[in-house]
Amino acid sequence: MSRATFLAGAKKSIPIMLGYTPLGLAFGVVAREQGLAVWQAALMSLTAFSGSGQFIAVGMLGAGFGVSAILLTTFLVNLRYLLFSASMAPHVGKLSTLAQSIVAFGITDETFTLNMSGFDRQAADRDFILGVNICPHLSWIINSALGAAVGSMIPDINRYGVNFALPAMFIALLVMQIKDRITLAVAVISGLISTGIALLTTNGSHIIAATVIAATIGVILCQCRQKSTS
Amino acid sequence: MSMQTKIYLVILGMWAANYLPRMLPMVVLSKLKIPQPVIWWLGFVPAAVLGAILAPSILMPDKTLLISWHNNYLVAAVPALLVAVKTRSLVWTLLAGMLAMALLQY
Repeated sequence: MSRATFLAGAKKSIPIMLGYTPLGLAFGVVAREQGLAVWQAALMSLTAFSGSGQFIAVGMLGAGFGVSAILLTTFLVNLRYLLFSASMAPHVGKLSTLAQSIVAFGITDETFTLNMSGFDRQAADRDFILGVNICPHLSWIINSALGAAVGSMIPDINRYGVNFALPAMFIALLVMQIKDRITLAVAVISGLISTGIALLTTNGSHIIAATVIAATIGVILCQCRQKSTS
Repeated sequence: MSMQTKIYLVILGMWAANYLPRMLPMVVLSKLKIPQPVIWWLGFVPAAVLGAILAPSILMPDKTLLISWHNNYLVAAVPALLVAVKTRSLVWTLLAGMLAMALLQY
Protein backbone atom coordinates (compact mmCIF):
# COMPACT_ATOMS: atom_id res chain seq x y z
CA MET A 1 0.00 0.00 0.00
CA SER A 2 1.55 3.28 -1.09
CA ARG A 3 0.57 6.08 1.23
CA ALA A 4 1.75 8.83 -1.14
CA THR A 5 -0.33 7.46 -4.03
CA PHE A 6 -3.37 7.06 -1.80
CA LEU A 7 -2.99 10.67 -0.61
CA ALA A 8 -2.59 11.90 -4.19
CA GLY A 9 -5.94 10.28 -5.00
CA ALA A 10 -7.46 11.67 -1.82
CA LYS A 11 -6.30 15.18 -2.77
CA LYS A 12 -7.87 14.85 -6.22
CA SER A 13 -11.16 13.89 -4.56
CA ILE A 14 -11.45 17.02 -2.37
CA PRO A 15 -13.91 18.75 -4.76
CA ILE A 16 -16.10 15.63 -4.66
CA MET A 17 -15.93 15.57 -0.84
CA LEU A 18 -17.05 19.20 -0.81
CA GLY A 19 -19.72 18.43 -3.39
CA TYR A 20 -21.07 15.58 -1.26
CA THR A 21 -21.38 17.85 1.78
CA PRO A 22 -24.66 19.58 0.81
CA LEU A 23 -25.92 16.37 -0.83
CA GLY A 24 -25.15 14.25 2.24
CA LEU A 25 -26.73 16.84 4.54
CA ALA A 26 -29.80 16.94 2.30
CA PHE A 27 -30.04 13.14 2.32
CA GLY A 28 -29.78 13.10 6.12
CA VAL A 29 -32.60 15.64 6.39
CA VAL A 30 -34.86 13.67 4.04
CA ALA A 31 -34.05 10.31 5.69
CA ARG A 32 -34.91 11.70 9.13
CA GLU A 33 -38.18 13.13 7.76
CA GLN A 34 -39.09 9.68 6.42
CA GLY A 35 -38.54 7.97 9.78
CA LEU A 36 -34.92 6.78 9.76
CA ALA A 37 -32.76 7.20 12.87
CA VAL A 38 -29.50 9.13 12.57
CA TRP A 39 -27.36 6.02 12.53
CA GLN A 40 -29.70 4.24 10.09
CA ALA A 41 -29.19 7.13 7.65
CA ALA A 42 -25.43 6.81 8.14
CA LEU A 43 -25.57 3.01 7.75
CA MET A 44 -27.45 3.29 4.45
CA SER A 45 -24.84 5.77 3.22
CA LEU A 46 -22.16 3.24 4.15
CA THR A 47 -23.74 0.22 2.44
CA ALA A 48 -25.39 1.84 -0.61
CA PHE A 49 -23.22 4.93 -1.33
CA SER A 50 -25.65 6.12 -3.98
CA GLY A 51 -27.23 9.58 -3.83
CA SER A 52 -30.04 9.04 -6.33
CA GLY A 53 -30.71 5.49 -5.08
CA GLN A 54 -30.87 6.53 -1.43
CA PHE A 55 -33.12 9.55 -2.00
CA ILE A 56 -35.53 7.31 -3.90
CA ALA A 57 -35.31 4.52 -1.29
CA VAL A 58 -36.11 6.70 1.72
CA GLY A 59 -38.81 8.55 -0.25
CA MET A 60 -40.48 5.23 -1.10
CA LEU A 61 -40.06 3.96 2.49
CA GLY A 62 -41.87 7.05 3.72
CA ALA A 63 -44.59 6.59 1.11
CA GLY A 64 -45.21 3.03 2.30
CA PHE A 65 -43.89 1.00 -0.66
CA GLY A 66 -42.84 -2.63 -0.12
CA VAL A 67 -39.21 -3.68 0.25
CA SER A 68 -39.01 -5.46 -3.13
CA ALA A 69 -40.48 -2.49 -5.03
CA ILE A 70 -37.99 -0.16 -3.35
CA LEU A 71 -35.02 -2.37 -4.15
CA LEU A 72 -36.07 -2.97 -7.75
CA THR A 73 -36.49 0.76 -8.41
CA THR A 74 -33.10 1.51 -6.84
CA PHE A 75 -31.51 -1.20 -8.92
CA LEU A 76 -33.06 0.17 -12.15
CA VAL A 77 -32.01 3.73 -11.42
CA ASN A 78 -28.51 2.49 -10.64
CA LEU A 79 -28.19 0.20 -13.66
CA ARG A 80 -25.73 2.79 -14.91
CA TYR A 81 -23.25 1.31 -12.40
CA LEU A 82 -23.09 -1.74 -14.68
CA LEU A 83 -21.92 0.57 -17.46
CA PHE A 84 -19.47 2.44 -15.21
CA SER A 85 -17.99 -0.81 -13.95
CA ALA A 86 -17.69 -2.19 -17.49
CA SER A 87 -16.08 1.08 -18.66
CA MET A 88 -13.41 0.79 -15.98
CA ALA A 89 -12.76 -2.88 -16.75
CA PRO A 90 -10.24 -2.34 -19.62
CA HIS A 91 -8.13 -0.12 -17.32
CA VAL A 92 -7.95 -2.31 -14.20
CA GLY A 93 -6.75 -5.57 -15.78
CA LYS A 94 -3.50 -5.43 -13.79
CA LEU A 95 -5.31 -5.28 -10.43
CA SER A 96 -6.03 -8.50 -8.53
CA THR A 97 -9.63 -9.72 -8.44
CA LEU A 98 -9.78 -8.83 -4.73
CA ALA A 99 -8.50 -5.31 -5.41
CA GLN A 100 -11.03 -4.94 -8.23
CA SER A 101 -13.90 -6.02 -5.98
CA ILE A 102 -12.80 -3.47 -3.38
CA VAL A 103 -12.33 -0.48 -5.69
CA ALA A 104 -15.68 -1.35 -7.38
CA PHE A 105 -17.48 -0.66 -4.09
CA GLY A 106 -16.63 3.04 -4.33
CA ILE A 107 -17.91 3.69 -7.87
CA THR A 108 -20.28 6.66 -8.05
CA ASP A 109 -21.09 9.09 -10.87
CA GLU A 110 -18.43 11.43 -9.53
CA THR A 111 -15.60 9.07 -8.48
CA PHE A 112 -16.06 7.17 -11.75
CA THR A 113 -15.68 10.34 -13.83
CA LEU A 114 -12.62 11.43 -11.85
CA ASN A 115 -10.96 8.02 -12.06
CA MET A 116 -11.65 7.70 -15.79
CA SER A 117 -10.20 11.14 -16.52
CA GLY A 118 -6.98 9.97 -14.82
CA PHE A 119 -6.74 6.77 -16.91
CA ASP A 120 -6.07 8.89 -20.03
CA ARG A 121 -2.72 9.96 -18.63
CA GLN A 122 -1.52 7.07 -16.47
CA ALA A 123 -2.27 3.40 -15.79
CA ALA A 124 -4.90 2.58 -13.17
CA ASP A 125 -3.38 2.34 -9.69
CA ARG A 126 -5.15 0.57 -6.83
CA ASP A 127 -4.09 2.97 -4.10
CA PHE A 128 -4.89 6.06 -6.17
CA ILE A 129 -8.40 4.78 -6.93
CA LEU A 130 -8.89 3.94 -3.24
CA GLY A 131 -7.88 7.50 -2.33
CA VAL A 132 -10.33 8.91 -4.86
CA ASN A 133 -13.15 6.62 -3.64
CA ILE A 134 -12.78 6.44 0.14
CA CYS A 135 -12.62 10.15 1.08
CA PRO A 136 -15.87 11.10 -0.71
CA HIS A 137 -17.49 8.01 0.84
CA LEU A 138 -16.48 9.16 4.34
CA SER A 139 -17.76 12.66 3.56
CA TRP A 140 -21.03 11.14 2.34
CA ILE A 141 -21.50 9.05 5.54
CA ILE A 142 -20.54 11.82 7.97
CA ASN A 143 -22.71 14.44 6.28
CA SER A 144 -25.68 12.06 6.08
CA ALA A 145 -25.43 11.59 9.84
CA LEU A 146 -24.99 15.34 10.43
CA GLY A 147 -27.94 16.14 8.18
CA ALA A 148 -30.14 13.66 10.01
CA ALA A 149 -29.00 14.98 13.38
CA VAL A 150 -29.29 18.73 12.82
CA GLY A 151 -31.33 18.99 9.62
CA SER A 152 -34.64 18.72 11.37
CA MET A 153 -33.76 21.99 13.14
CA ILE A 154 -33.33 23.96 9.87
CA PRO A 155 -36.71 24.88 8.39
CA ASP A 156 -37.06 24.72 4.57
CA ILE A 157 -33.46 23.81 3.70
CA ASN A 158 -34.15 24.11 -0.06
CA ARG A 159 -34.39 27.88 0.35
CA TYR A 160 -30.59 27.83 0.33
CA GLY A 161 -30.39 26.27 -3.12
CA VAL A 162 -29.73 22.73 -1.83
CA ASN A 163 -32.27 21.42 -4.36
CA PHE A 164 -29.90 22.46 -7.16
CA ALA A 165 -26.81 20.76 -5.69
CA LEU A 166 -27.36 17.52 -7.63
CA PRO A 167 -28.02 19.13 -11.08
CA ALA A 168 -25.05 21.51 -10.59
CA MET A 169 -22.78 18.58 -9.81
CA PHE A 170 -23.96 16.75 -12.95
CA ILE A 171 -23.34 19.89 -15.07
CA ALA A 172 -19.73 20.12 -13.85
CA LEU A 173 -19.11 16.40 -14.38
CA LEU A 174 -20.60 16.50 -17.87
CA VAL A 175 -18.48 19.49 -18.91
CA MET A 176 -15.37 17.64 -17.68
CA GLN A 177 -16.31 14.73 -19.96
CA ILE A 178 -16.63 16.74 -23.19
CA LYS A 179 -13.31 16.13 -24.95
CA ASP A 180 -14.40 16.37 -28.61
CA ARG A 181 -17.39 17.10 -30.80
CA ILE A 182 -18.58 13.50 -30.94
CA THR A 183 -18.73 13.32 -27.12
CA LEU A 184 -20.67 16.59 -27.08
CA ALA A 185 -23.09 15.21 -29.67
CA VAL A 186 -23.53 12.00 -27.64
CA ALA A 187 -24.33 13.99 -24.47
CA VAL A 188 -26.88 16.23 -26.23
CA ILE A 189 -28.56 13.33 -28.07
CA SER A 190 -28.70 11.34 -24.82
CA GLY A 191 -30.29 14.28 -22.98
CA LEU A 192 -32.95 14.73 -25.66
CA ILE A 193 -33.79 11.02 -25.86
CA SER A 194 -33.87 10.74 -22.07
CA THR A 195 -36.23 13.71 -21.75
CA GLY A 196 -38.45 12.29 -24.50
CA ILE A 197 -38.70 8.90 -22.80
CA ALA A 198 -39.17 10.47 -19.35
CA LEU A 199 -42.18 12.36 -20.69
CA LEU A 200 -43.77 9.09 -21.83
CA THR A 201 -42.83 6.76 -18.95
CA THR A 202 -42.53 6.97 -15.17
CA ASN A 203 -40.52 3.87 -14.29
CA GLY A 204 -37.04 5.39 -14.42
CA SER A 205 -36.04 3.48 -17.58
CA HIS A 206 -35.20 6.68 -19.49
CA ILE A 207 -31.64 6.96 -18.16
CA ILE A 208 -30.45 3.52 -19.18
CA ALA A 209 -32.34 3.53 -22.53
CA ALA A 210 -30.99 6.94 -23.58
CA THR A 211 -27.46 5.99 -22.51
CA VAL A 212 -27.43 2.80 -24.59
CA ILE A 213 -28.87 4.52 -27.70
CA ALA A 214 -26.63 7.61 -27.50
CA ALA A 215 -23.41 5.65 -26.84
CA THR A 216 -24.24 3.43 -29.86
CA ILE A 217 -24.72 6.53 -32.03
CA GLY A 218 -21.31 7.71 -30.78
CA VAL A 219 -19.66 4.47 -31.96
CA ILE A 220 -21.31 4.84 -35.38
CA LEU A 221 -20.00 8.43 -35.60
CA CYS A 222 -16.48 7.18 -34.67
CA GLN A 223 -16.60 4.56 -37.40
CA CYS A 224 -17.78 7.12 -39.98
CA ARG A 225 -14.93 9.45 -39.02
CA GLN A 226 -12.41 6.62 -39.28
CA LYS A 227 -13.67 5.69 -42.77
CA SER A 228 -13.56 9.30 -44.00
CA THR A 229 -9.97 9.77 -42.82
CA SER A 230 -8.57 6.41 -44.03
CA MET B 1 -43.78 -6.22 8.85
CA SER B 2 -42.75 -3.46 11.25
CA MET B 3 -41.25 -0.23 9.94
CA GLN B 4 -37.96 -1.01 11.68
CA THR B 5 -37.68 -4.45 10.03
CA LYS B 6 -38.43 -2.81 6.68
CA ILE B 7 -35.74 -0.17 7.17
CA TYR B 8 -33.13 -2.84 7.94
CA LEU B 9 -34.17 -5.01 4.99
CA VAL B 10 -33.93 -2.00 2.66
CA ILE B 11 -30.49 -1.05 4.02
CA LEU B 12 -29.26 -4.62 3.55
CA GLY B 13 -30.88 -4.92 0.11
CA MET B 14 -29.45 -1.57 -0.96
CA TRP B 15 -26.00 -2.96 -0.32
CA ALA B 16 -26.61 -5.84 -2.76
CA ALA B 17 -28.56 -3.76 -5.30
CA ASN B 18 -25.79 -1.18 -5.44
CA TYR B 19 -22.67 -3.30 -5.03
CA LEU B 20 -23.24 -6.19 -7.44
CA PRO B 21 -23.75 -4.01 -10.57
CA ARG B 22 -20.59 -2.10 -9.61
CA MET B 23 -18.45 -5.17 -9.06
CA LEU B 24 -19.44 -7.94 -11.50
CA PRO B 25 -18.77 -6.22 -14.87
CA MET B 26 -15.35 -4.99 -13.73
CA VAL B 27 -14.20 -8.32 -12.36
CA VAL B 28 -15.46 -10.33 -15.36
CA LEU B 29 -14.73 -7.99 -18.29
CA SER B 30 -11.22 -7.04 -17.15
CA LYS B 31 -10.16 -10.63 -17.80
CA LEU B 32 -11.16 -10.46 -21.47
CA LYS B 33 -9.68 -8.69 -24.50
CA ILE B 34 -12.24 -6.07 -25.46
CA PRO B 35 -12.73 -5.07 -29.16
CA GLN B 36 -12.21 -1.42 -30.17
CA PRO B 37 -15.88 -0.50 -30.91
CA VAL B 38 -16.84 -1.78 -27.44
CA ILE B 39 -14.11 0.38 -25.88
CA TRP B 40 -15.43 3.40 -27.81
CA TRP B 41 -18.95 2.56 -26.67
CA LEU B 42 -17.90 2.29 -23.03
CA GLY B 43 -15.97 5.55 -23.35
CA PHE B 44 -19.16 7.37 -24.37
CA VAL B 45 -21.11 6.02 -21.39
CA PRO B 46 -20.16 8.74 -18.88
CA ALA B 47 -21.15 11.65 -21.16
CA ALA B 48 -24.30 9.81 -22.26
CA VAL B 49 -25.43 8.89 -18.76
CA LEU B 50 -24.75 12.37 -17.37
CA GLY B 51 -26.70 13.95 -20.26
CA ALA B 52 -29.52 11.47 -19.69
CA ILE B 53 -29.76 12.30 -15.96
CA LEU B 54 -29.24 16.03 -16.32
CA ALA B 55 -31.60 16.98 -19.16
CA PRO B 56 -34.86 15.72 -17.60
CA SER B 57 -33.87 17.05 -14.16
CA ILE B 58 -33.63 20.63 -15.48
CA LEU B 59 -36.13 20.54 -18.37
CA MET B 60 -38.93 18.82 -16.44
CA PRO B 61 -38.38 19.36 -12.70
CA ASP B 62 -42.05 18.71 -11.93
CA LYS B 63 -42.34 15.77 -14.36
CA THR B 64 -43.80 17.96 -17.13
CA LEU B 65 -41.75 19.76 -19.78
CA LEU B 66 -41.22 23.42 -18.81
CA ILE B 67 -39.01 25.47 -21.14
CA SER B 68 -39.58 28.94 -19.70
CA TRP B 69 -38.12 31.69 -17.53
CA HIS B 70 -40.38 30.36 -14.78
CA ASN B 71 -38.39 27.12 -14.63
CA ASN B 72 -35.85 27.87 -11.87
CA TYR B 73 -33.86 24.72 -12.64
CA LEU B 74 -33.39 25.70 -16.27
CA VAL B 75 -32.45 29.29 -15.40
CA ALA B 76 -30.01 28.25 -12.63
CA ALA B 77 -28.37 25.82 -15.07
CA VAL B 78 -27.15 28.75 -17.22
CA PRO B 79 -24.72 30.30 -14.70
CA ALA B 80 -23.71 26.81 -13.52
CA LEU B 81 -22.89 25.79 -17.11
CA LEU B 82 -20.93 28.99 -17.80
CA VAL B 83 -18.88 28.57 -14.61
CA ALA B 84 -18.32 24.88 -15.38
CA VAL B 85 -17.00 25.64 -18.88
CA LYS B 86 -14.85 28.50 -17.61
CA THR B 87 -13.38 26.86 -14.45
CA ARG B 88 -13.88 23.09 -15.01
CA SER B 89 -14.30 23.02 -11.22
CA LEU B 90 -16.90 21.00 -9.30
CA VAL B 91 -16.88 23.32 -6.32
CA TRP B 92 -17.30 26.61 -8.21
CA THR B 93 -20.03 25.11 -10.38
CA LEU B 94 -21.83 23.83 -7.30
CA LEU B 95 -21.59 27.22 -5.59
CA ALA B 96 -22.71 29.15 -8.69
CA GLY B 97 -25.67 26.83 -9.24
CA MET B 98 -26.82 26.80 -5.62
CA LEU B 99 -26.42 30.58 -5.30
CA ALA B 100 -28.45 31.13 -8.49
CA MET B 101 -31.15 28.78 -7.21
CA ALA B 102 -31.23 30.44 -3.78
CA LEU B 103 -31.63 33.88 -5.42
CA LEU B 104 -34.34 32.63 -7.80
CA GLN B 105 -36.30 31.22 -4.85
CA TYR B 106 -35.74 34.26 -2.65
